[in-house]
Amino acid sequence: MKRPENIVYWLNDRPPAAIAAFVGLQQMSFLGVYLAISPLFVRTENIGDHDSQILMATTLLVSGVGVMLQAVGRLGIGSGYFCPLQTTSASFATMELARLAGGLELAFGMVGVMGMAQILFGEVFRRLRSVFSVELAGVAVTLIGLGLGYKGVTLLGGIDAPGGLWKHDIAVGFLALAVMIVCNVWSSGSLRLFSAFAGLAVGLAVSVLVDGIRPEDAENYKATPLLALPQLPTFGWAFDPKLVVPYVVLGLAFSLHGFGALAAAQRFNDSEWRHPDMAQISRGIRAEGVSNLIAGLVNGLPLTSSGGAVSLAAATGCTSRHIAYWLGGILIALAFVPKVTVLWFVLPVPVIGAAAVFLSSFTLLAGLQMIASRMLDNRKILTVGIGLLLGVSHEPLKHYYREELPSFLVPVTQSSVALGVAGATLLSGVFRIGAGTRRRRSFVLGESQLDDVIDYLDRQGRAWGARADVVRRSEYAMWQAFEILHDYGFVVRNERGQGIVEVETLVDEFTFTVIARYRGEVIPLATHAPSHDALLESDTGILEMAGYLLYKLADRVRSRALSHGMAELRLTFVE
Amino acid sequence: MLDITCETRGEVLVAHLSGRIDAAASRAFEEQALAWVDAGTRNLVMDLSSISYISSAGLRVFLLIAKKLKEAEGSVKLCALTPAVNDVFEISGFSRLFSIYPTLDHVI
Repeated sequence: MKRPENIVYWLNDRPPAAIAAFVGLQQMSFLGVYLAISPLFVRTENIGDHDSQILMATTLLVSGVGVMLQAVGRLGIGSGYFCPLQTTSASFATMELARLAGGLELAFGMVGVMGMAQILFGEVFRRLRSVFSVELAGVAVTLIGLGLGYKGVTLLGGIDAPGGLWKHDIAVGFLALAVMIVCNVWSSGSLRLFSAFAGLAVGLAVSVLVDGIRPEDAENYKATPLLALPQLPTFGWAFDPKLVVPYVVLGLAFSLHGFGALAAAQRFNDSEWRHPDMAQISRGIRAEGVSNLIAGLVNGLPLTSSGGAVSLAAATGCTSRHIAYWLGGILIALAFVPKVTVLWFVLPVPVIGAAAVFLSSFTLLAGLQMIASRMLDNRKILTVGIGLLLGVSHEPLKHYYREELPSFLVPVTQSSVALGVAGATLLSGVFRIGAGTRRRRSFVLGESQLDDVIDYLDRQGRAWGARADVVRRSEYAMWQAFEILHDYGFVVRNERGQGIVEVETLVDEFTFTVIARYRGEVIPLATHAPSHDALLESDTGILEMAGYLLYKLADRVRSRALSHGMAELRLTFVE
Repeated sequence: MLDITCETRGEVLVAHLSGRIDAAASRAFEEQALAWVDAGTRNLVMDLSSISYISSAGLRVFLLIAKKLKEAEGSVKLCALTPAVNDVFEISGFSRLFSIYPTLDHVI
């Protein structure tokens, strides 16, 4: 794990209290945007003002607990990363289904079932780690970036703005975006840490100064009490076995989304990131599950890991998990101060869009880099391509997905990330069927062209999505090995005068191993390069140099005699 | 298979190498290189932009050329190494023996 250059406060760094508090507020100001989801649900379900305030408070409480659980990473719960939770409208269709069947107590009670399902999915994902490959993580992170960007562009342009636009909202949005970009690109130190906050603050200030506050927002603010103790649970609990499937599928959709956000958190924290750490991701999804179990108990809205908040942390250079405790504290405190939370509704929608556009760029590029870091064969190209297409199709085909597909699938189709990643996961799993982790092929020394060996290794590398530089090193080493096997007579010829070398590849998520087996003598390895004189004066020097190159090109190398006159050269390359 | 084409730029002989410098190609490469030195070449630049592979036998020829030119008070410079070839030069310690440039334009 290596600290990325753009990160000022890394995963385990402890920022000074003032900075941590400000970064926490910045995260809050971004996540607060998603509080707008809560009134949207309230409007749909005709929930009264009082209950609506309690719903917002419970959601804030669970968000606060959730972000801390995620960062602590103890007792098998929590990834240890800064990965806040947010509400999403992707859960509304399932909750509406439950409300129609048995009222709000059923809609919220079943959220606990969803949480329990996520706890199980955490374990399932860990066991299926060969399916959750780098390119799949890349698809998830790319789709989070695209989704965030799409939302950002529509909000920035004032399209479908909840509550409509107010005077100079769009201009204010572009001003906010300009402030974020200027602070992020042309400043260093503290200002860059707060670039998103600066944009949101300037947007809010200019909007209030130039256009004033909407009358309905002013009334809402006046009517909201400063302090209030949430009454839990507001709607109660109920359970209906018929709704288990839709809520489990919703849990799957949220878990897939969580996989993407957590993979992004890992990628943003490690400039040498190679592949998703599914053990950490599994613990992270469990933390999300526990949070949603609590949400079910206290009647909060279901929460999912926020790719946007993870991107904000990376974009502003502070991915420290200690921020989670500050943010958690702020979220919990705000649950008791409703007057402050309604302030988020004063923020013009295009300013929120500006933040989403700003952050989506970082996420989108991180996802594309994850995909491009691997060699892809046709199976993986199809997995990535179809996954991305499904995700991108979510917005234009949203209506079709909701109305025409079986109802139990609706939760997955209500989020571009869940839809795309579900499709890609399915394909990744299908393509794994019959694709063993071992492959063998025999080559005849002198008859087989070295290019055949290279092509074979290249195909294996692509089939397993290995990193290009790892495959290149393995090809180079095998080239050298074949050359000395041929030139120095290490391989015993058979009755037809052929020297047969069997090449086997073994792949797991961490290593790419190439084994050459043949009848004959062991290739001598050298831990030191020969002297220049030795190299110039004899063939032994060239052989020593070959043995040294093999020793250095592979991360682990073993050359040994097997039984029945066989010998083996095993080269392991760490991903 | 190794292809070598040469051009003269002032007092510098520029050799463009393409293909692989494996054991078989090394013998022809060595003969060619010694012929350049015998013919009076003292400033040699080798463009390796199209070399995909160098084996230990190929490294030996580079060492031999460097030694012969040093004895003749000449010099050899290498340019445009591919990542794979650069790895081998780094691993073998040969990157410290030679002046290596990113492109041909950087040498001349």
